[in-house]
Amino acid sequence: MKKTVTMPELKKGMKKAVLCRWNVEPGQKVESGSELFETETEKAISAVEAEENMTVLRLLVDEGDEVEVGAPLMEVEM
Amino acid sequence: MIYVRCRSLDPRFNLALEEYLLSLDTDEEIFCLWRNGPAVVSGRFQNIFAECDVPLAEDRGVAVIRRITGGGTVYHDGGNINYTVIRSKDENGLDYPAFIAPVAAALRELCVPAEISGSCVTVKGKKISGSAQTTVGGRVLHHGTLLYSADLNDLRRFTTPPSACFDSAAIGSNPAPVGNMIDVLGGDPDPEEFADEIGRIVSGGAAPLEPESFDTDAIEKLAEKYASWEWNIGSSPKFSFRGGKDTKMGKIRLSYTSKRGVIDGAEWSGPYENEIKNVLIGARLDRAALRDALTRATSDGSFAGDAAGFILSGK
Repeated sequence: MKKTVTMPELKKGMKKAVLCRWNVEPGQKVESGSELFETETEKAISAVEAEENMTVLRLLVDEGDEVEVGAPLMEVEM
Repeated sequence: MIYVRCRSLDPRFNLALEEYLLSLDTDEEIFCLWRNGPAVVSGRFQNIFAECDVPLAEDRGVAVIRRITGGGTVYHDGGNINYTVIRSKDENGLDYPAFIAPVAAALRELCVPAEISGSCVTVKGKKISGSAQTTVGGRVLHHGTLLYSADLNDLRRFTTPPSACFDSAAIGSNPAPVGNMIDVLGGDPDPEEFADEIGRIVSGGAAPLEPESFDTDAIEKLAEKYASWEWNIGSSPKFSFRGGKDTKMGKIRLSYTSKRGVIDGAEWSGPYENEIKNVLIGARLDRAALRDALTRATSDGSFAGDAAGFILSGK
């Protein structure tokens, strides 16, 4: 089943964050708990982990892009 | 609270100590005070070459290191006191004032009229502290600088962008007017003693642990990361460079792109054009490596040295 991973609200009241580093690439099988990407908002770095096993299909934003909370980041196959 | 007092001035060891403390399996709050010898410390996702004249820093014996938290580039010397607070992430999330408050209160008790402003602390309108954070595995590391008696001329010198040659989507720095706490306190500065006083107040008089209380082998192993090109430069965001420089041999014009600290596209015009264009692509952004490669290509060590510095700073 295809799913779109979106920018989470990593901090209460956060509106957007910079997608700083992708730690996966298209085609990669990712286990639950693995780091998908790292973000920075208000000088705070957060790594977002996969909640389930998945296969990465497409990365929708580039490293360095500022992304609003809820905006799509990547497409995956669950 | 676990109170750690580190007396090492080695920035690589100290950043490793922080990361080690963050990895400890505990729910307790950890508070650590430490100072560095001269060092430029960049944020996790910054283009360090756009923030600091890296060749100048190297010439002056100033370490250039990347930290694990966000934010901008800072300058540390013995007159700057660093503090680290590690807590489990709670419903308040990454609330800067909540992490800063105990230190600000300690400063006020020590007669420094500190005020919290977002992620900073100011004294009479001048910034004396900035801070940044990272979260790993449900634990938040918050750390900040405290300008006590720092060399502000060196601070400006080493945190001023060297040129306008760099362009990227990397996180930038936000410089602000800064000041030292000693300007308000007066007297002869003793940053080590002042740090001890901060620690005494914040910890409630607890006896501090030293790094030797922990797994120093593990900390030293982590310190290798902070000494490595792979971490400090090789984890840089992608960026582009465009610039020119007059030399005794003629004018250089250079544009290049870099990914993870390696040049992946370049156009060079000027002296030794045929020799150099085969050298740049795939080259690491490392001054010694660039100088050696350019020397081999041109047999002109003096030119190669200047060119290597130019590639890294635009100067």
